Amino acid sequence: MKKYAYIIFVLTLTGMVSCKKWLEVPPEDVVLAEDALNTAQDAQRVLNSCYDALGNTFDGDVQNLAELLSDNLTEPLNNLELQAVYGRDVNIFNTTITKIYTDLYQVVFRANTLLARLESISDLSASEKTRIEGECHFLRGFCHWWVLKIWAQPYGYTADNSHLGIVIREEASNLPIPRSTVAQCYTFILNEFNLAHDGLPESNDVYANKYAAAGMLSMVNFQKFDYNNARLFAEEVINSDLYSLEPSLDIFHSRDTNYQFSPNPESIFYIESLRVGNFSDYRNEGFRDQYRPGAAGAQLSFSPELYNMMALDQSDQRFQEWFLSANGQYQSLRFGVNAENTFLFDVPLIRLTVLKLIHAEAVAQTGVNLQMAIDEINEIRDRAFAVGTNHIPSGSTADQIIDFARMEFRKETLCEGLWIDQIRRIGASGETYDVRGAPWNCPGMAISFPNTEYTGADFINNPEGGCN
Amino acid sequence: MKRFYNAFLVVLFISLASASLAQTVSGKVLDENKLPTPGVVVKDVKTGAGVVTDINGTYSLKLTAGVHKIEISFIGYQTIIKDVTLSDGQTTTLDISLLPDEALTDEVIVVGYGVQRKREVTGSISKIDGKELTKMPVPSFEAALQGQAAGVQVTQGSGLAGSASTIRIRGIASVSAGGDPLYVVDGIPITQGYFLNGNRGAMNNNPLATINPNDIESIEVLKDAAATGIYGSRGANGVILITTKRGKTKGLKVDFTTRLGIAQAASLPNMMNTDQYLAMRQEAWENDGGTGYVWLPERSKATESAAVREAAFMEAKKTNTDWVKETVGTGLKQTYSLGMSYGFKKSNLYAGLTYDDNGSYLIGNSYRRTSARLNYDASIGDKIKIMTSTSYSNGQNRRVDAAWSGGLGLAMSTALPYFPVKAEVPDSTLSHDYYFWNGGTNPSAKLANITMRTIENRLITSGSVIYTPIKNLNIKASGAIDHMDFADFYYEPYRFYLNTPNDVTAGKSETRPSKTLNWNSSFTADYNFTRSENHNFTFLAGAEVQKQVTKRKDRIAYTNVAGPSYSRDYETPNTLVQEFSANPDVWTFVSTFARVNYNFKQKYFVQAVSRLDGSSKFGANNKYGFFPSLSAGWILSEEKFLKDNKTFSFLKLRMGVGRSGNSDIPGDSQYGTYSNTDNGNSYNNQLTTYPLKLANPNLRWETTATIDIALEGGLWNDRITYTLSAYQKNTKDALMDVSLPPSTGFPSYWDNVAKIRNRGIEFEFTSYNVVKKNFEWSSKFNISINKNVLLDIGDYTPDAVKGGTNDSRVIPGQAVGSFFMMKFSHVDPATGRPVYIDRNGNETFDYENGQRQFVGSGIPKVIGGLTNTLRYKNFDLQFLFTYSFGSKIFDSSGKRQMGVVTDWNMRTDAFDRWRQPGDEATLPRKTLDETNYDLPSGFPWWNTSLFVYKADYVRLRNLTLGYMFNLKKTSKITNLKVAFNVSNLFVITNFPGLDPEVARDFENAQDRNLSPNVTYLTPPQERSYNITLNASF
Repeated sequence: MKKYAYIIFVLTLTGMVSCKKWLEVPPEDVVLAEDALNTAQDAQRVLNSCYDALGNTFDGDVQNLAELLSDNLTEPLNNLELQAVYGRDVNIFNTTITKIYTDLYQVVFRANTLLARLESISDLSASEKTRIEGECHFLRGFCHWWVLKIWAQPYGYTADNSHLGIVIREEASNLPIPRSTVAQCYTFILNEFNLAHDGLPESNDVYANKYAAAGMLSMVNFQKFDYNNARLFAEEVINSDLYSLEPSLDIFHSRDTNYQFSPNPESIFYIESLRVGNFSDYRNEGFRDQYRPGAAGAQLSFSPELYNMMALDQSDQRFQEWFLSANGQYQSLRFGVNAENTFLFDVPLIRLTVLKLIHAEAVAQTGVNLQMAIDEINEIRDRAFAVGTNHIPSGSTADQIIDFARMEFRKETLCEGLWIDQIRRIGASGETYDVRGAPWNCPGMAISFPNTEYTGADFINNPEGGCN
Repeated sequence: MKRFYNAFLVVLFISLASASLAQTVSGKVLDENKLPTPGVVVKDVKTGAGVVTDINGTYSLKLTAGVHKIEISFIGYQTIIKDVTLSDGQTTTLDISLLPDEALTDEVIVVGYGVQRKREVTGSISKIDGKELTKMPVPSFEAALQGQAAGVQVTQGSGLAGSASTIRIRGIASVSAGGDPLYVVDGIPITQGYFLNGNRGAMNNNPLATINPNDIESIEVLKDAAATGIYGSRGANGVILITTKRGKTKGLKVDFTTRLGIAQAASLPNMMNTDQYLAMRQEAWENDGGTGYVWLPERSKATESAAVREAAFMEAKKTNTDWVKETVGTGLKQTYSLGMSYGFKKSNLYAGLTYDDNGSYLIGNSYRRTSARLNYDASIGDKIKIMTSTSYSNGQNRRVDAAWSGGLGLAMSTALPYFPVKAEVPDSTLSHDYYFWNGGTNPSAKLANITMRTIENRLITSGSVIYTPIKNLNIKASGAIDHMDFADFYYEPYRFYLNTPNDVTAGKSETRPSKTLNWNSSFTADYNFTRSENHNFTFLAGAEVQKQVTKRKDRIAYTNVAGPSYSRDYETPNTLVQEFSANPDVWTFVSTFARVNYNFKQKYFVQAVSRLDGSSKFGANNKYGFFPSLSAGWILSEEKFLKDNKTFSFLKLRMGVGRSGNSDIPGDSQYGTYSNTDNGNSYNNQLTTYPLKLANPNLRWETTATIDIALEGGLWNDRITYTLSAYQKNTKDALMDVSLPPSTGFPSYWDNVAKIRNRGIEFEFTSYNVVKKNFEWSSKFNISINKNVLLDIGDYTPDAVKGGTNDSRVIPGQAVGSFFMMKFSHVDPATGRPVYIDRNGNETFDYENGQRQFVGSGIPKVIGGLTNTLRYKNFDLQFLFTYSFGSKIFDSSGKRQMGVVTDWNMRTDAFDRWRQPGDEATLPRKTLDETNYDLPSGFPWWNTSLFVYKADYVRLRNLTLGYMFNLKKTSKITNLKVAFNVSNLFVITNFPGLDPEVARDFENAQDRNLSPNVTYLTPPQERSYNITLNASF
């Protein structure tokens, strides 16, 4: 009897083990979460994926969105969803906008996943861990920043910045989260860039480094009217002597005809396009496809107001090289005039020209050294005009310097999605600024969040439209 | 068998004893389908003298002179008693028509892992005879279930050939998990992938289309937990058991059916002609303050001069194309079906071969099915029996674009009437002379050039060995394979778009293959015994394992292909330009189950069922689920107080409670996953890997607790039989593929969230109203009332789950599948602007998505069917009405066809619009600018309750007139019948659109659950005229 009992016991046990195995069917062609992120190599690959996702959306898509909210462009040709952005009448079902919003947070999700696992990766050296942490904080801060500047009213919109900002995601989770205030968002983002600044090395191949974080700290503080910190962080980058102005205006054309690597010397942080043998990695489609003159479906061109402003001084090479009046449009040649020279280029996201102009205004705002500001603006203008032919008057007042700095900022950053920040800042500082007939702070300037952000009960959306 | 044997002895004895009798009554016995019925006992009640009908259904009974009561009886049919008076030497003819004994006593019902006599059944099961499925042509067999059984809601597919119907049994109890019932063919749960081909060309794959309705003997629909409990975790949405034909009689019996028919659209859209459309556009232009002639899409621009616009307008007026006519025609249908049954001494077989070419009314569209079946049963000795079933089908769907994808959909939208089919001045970049316009491909050009086809080869085979070591004990081992090899082929010649000479045939092809292998193995033992004559027990215990593997490629593309090729040899020498892989979907099940039936004196019945299911689909914390049910029946008509009651010939009360589940979700839903490094994504030429989704180790089955109570009865010797049932189904942990806030960084997450309740009453009856020699009339009626409520969705908001064309959401307190949009109030008589109603009930001109609210449900409250069958001599007439009440339909294309004037053609219904102050109109003033309706700029997609209509309808689904030929007794043909049939002859409805009953193309199972009644350029159902010839040998 014992023998039978034993046999039954063994059979039952075998059956249970078999059942358990039979019911374990992990999906194929993917890696289970528990097996995916355990080594230093895994961590680096997840980090690479963050840059990959960043590159997929900063290929022009995000920048175009920000640019459409400004007064630099005219109404998109026939893309209804982009037209809605231009009209500041984005509704909650705008799929183009939803995709960009989702893509930005996808980088955050990946960075959060990586941050949460770093402690348990045993073969990661302390320096690698510090670097990866720094990069994660940089990427997280960078994406939150771009979401904030498009989906929320700016710093200064309310006196205490208690108006709603965006959803802050500090950990990978499926839970809906309500929006934080703009004050909280600035605190979070600045903290992210500070952590990045502390952890990142001075040099980091094509990835974010200490100066990228410093650049962002300068830009974010500038928006926050903290001109002193904006100036100090900009100076950190400028004084590093690692970066120099690109001699030509060809900021986006850093590849030669053989697509050989030729980095833009003023890019502090950029999205890299690549060609190695037969392998090409395009990271510029959003610019290439939306601006290329004559390209089927190209949506974007400059506004008449911008064209007329630029045309005031036709000796400006930026006007000569970047503007083409044809077929009733003011087309942008910033990304080349045909398919050939828009084929493959890097996309600078933080560059010296911008920091110099921020620095110039910050200096003027704080009154530290006006001549330094004048020199910086002239350095930029020397590139745009024949050298020495178009300097701003020496002895310009702070207010004049500020005006010049802003004008140069607008001209230098065309299509880069940065001018809208200055519009908002100028408006929030108390000056009057109308954007295509509507005030800088009209409701639609903070575009509507996608409808699925409503999944959580506590979420409050921006109004749809309301500018015109 | 014993009954036959006894009858045979009696008949033999009596026949011998009365050999000298000179009076004779003779005739022919026919079944309900007018087929001769052999083996029927015809006897004199008083003396017991009798005979059995021969193979031609004829009999001849010699009797003494005088008055006799003649009893005609046959298993499964009502016993008939006729009075006959014979004088000396008289010979008289008495033909008999048998009526099925639906209710009751001896009818055998398939119940899952076995059969039961109907009187023993304690669960809710509806049986549909296979013959009902072949009476009219349908895109796929399941469509023929409509109106046949209470509680079974069948929403017919669209007019596309092979399109799938949606079936809901006692309401919808799921949100994101598949809401379709489990289909089991000859004991095998078959593959049910509706989305193997996604939603291509506005068409979902129909996994049931390859099943040959001519092979089906019967269908049992299991509705409550007592019935579905044996299928445990997969029974919550009901189970449909399909039993195929098997060899029955000794010798050879051959049945041949052919049908020829034509299909037309049951309704056509009333699109505007050129003059009407231009007038509407002009009015909108002037309303918006425009002067001169309006600009026209593809002809002029708003910014162009008045002269240019006028010239374009005048030029446009010269063309008037009826694009509907260009895409719609008459489809041809033909079916040839041969069935053969052969009985050997200890074995029998059934073989079937069918070719069915089901052309739809859409030009170029048909579904062709060639199928073969071989079912073979054999006994080896006294103790072993083997049963095998094998079917092979080849389905070829010659697809065309429809709805949003083109074809008739274009004719109903962006194919404007002033566009010519062929360009007067052909585009020099094209190598053909079709007219093309921006954003829309000329449907005629596409039909002439592009080939789209899906080809499906499906093999379903099973085998069982039944060992009976001792009396009443059966041990059964079964194995089955369902292999579905499916591929979608697309071919586009270069000449279609490029400036290529017409004789260049090369082009590009795309193939999307998918293979699903589903295998199943079970082991059961059943035993029944009787103790003290009154206590009867049946035990069943079993175990089952199942695995399904689906592998597919999202797309394989080739260039420089000479022409359409349907080869699956993917290594062809053509240039492979792209290949996209899809992750395989794999899942497994392991189950044990038991059922105990007990009855006392064949009067009191109790059944207990339990099933323990384990599934790979669920998280480690909830791998197994337990699904019990308990039910009981009481045959009151066996009690003394009703025993001999002439009115209540049968009365049974039954009740059941139990729990069943649903696990129809993707196999990998529980897992947190990362991409492989070969994901094709890199940065700085460095490999990447990234998280795809978060794990949910707590994912578990959604479960439905059901209580069901029913009364089954027969009146006046079962002249009327009926069933009245009431039920409540409470579903908890309903699976939702929650649309997560995009800020999470990933799109969705499977979670057990919702609670749903379905509560309803069903009533069905069959009545033999008139039964005379030359005239018979019978009626079958069923009605089902169901109330569906989504009780809870946890902490989520309605936007957590969406369906339809962005119009359906999950709204607590409303039915699953409710419309969620801006509520429309009226047209402001002063301005002609639309007035909306916000969530607080206030009227407003503001269209605000934040004010969306419940505006109706697409789920009907009342459904049913009424079948009447009349026979006069050799003619028979049958008509089936189906009906549905209480649901709404959202005409999603109406918002463009009757709303803002855009680049869509409009329906003539749009004439009912505001024109001047004081007008009280249905539609607001025409405008070219959506902001006049307060819509977001650039978005004329106007989801408002203005286009939500009542979807009540009564439809004449089937009308059939048949004639049975009189055949000579010596004829080898035992039956010859011809029938003329019209399907979908008319529908009575107030819905102003094409069809109030719609099963659109769906994006996924969730969409199928949530938006059953949303129509978006959906091709209407067909109306077909058919002639059928049926002969038996």
